[in-house]
Amino acid sequence: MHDRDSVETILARLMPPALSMSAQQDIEAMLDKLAGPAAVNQPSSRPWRRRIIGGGLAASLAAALAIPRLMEPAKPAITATTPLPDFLLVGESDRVESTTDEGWSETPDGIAVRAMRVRVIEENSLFDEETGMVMQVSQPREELLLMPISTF
Amino acid sequence: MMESPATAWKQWLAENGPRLLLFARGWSQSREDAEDLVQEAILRMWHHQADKGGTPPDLPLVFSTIRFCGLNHHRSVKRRRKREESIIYLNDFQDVWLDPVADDDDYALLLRNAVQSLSSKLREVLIMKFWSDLTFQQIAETLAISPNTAASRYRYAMEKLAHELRRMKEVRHA
Repeated sequence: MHDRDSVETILARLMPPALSMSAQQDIEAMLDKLAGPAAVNQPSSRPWRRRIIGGGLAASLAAALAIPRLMEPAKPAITATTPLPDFLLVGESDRVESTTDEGWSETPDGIAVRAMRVRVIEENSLFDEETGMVMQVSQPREELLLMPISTF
Repeated sequence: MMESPATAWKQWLAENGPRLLLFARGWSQSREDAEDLVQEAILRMWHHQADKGGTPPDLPLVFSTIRFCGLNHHRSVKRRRKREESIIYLNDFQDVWLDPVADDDDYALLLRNAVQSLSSKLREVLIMKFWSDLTFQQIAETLAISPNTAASRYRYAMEKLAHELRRMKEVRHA
């Protein structure tokens, strides 16, 4: 016990180092990009409306909106400072497109796992109240599921 | 005007970055890889938290994610090494996982090496308990083990370090 107290006392004199300056800046830049324009605190008469803010989603929505508005008089392009329109999420689903058995593997701890690579298409239906349009936004993603094997 | 959600995450990163890096270091070959793991985990957490208010995540969940990313990275590194046998991976001798508060703290420096040499099972629990202040229950949920197992691993890690400390003191005094 005396030794353990000594160990804990000495360990308390060790501190994990901070992230390097470049790593810190990279992560903060990534967070800024993910957050997009700063959210504006606008009171809404419809509290159940969901505001969608996201870089990737905004880009795909901007593209989807650009098509029908080609016939309208020219308007200022969407910029990084333009507030995003409100969209109502009316449906969302995850569709498994394919699964691939990647066989057995083992973790660094020696635990046997079975790996399954799953390709999923996330589909969101968004309703724009201003135009009455319903947009379908699809985002593929790949997941690797690791299932511990306990019986043989 | 509301604060950007990134601000809360940056504050969270400032507070927890070092302990995340320490944990990730156990799952990577170098400090740079560890920082990449941390960034990948934070990206995954951002998307995970998006429909939970967008607030920064709890530490146990981040540690689980770092483990998952580290495991994936380990598999790809293992496969690459099998293909590229001629590549020599040089150790970065300045790549240490912990810094002593005082530069001349010899025992802390010696114990640091002992911590890095622990098995990953023991080291993970030690890092989460000692430098991240998680409870054994939280550690158990992160590692998918029982709280008793988590406590046992922590105890065993401390015993191993105590044994190593005794051995080092004997060598010094000899």
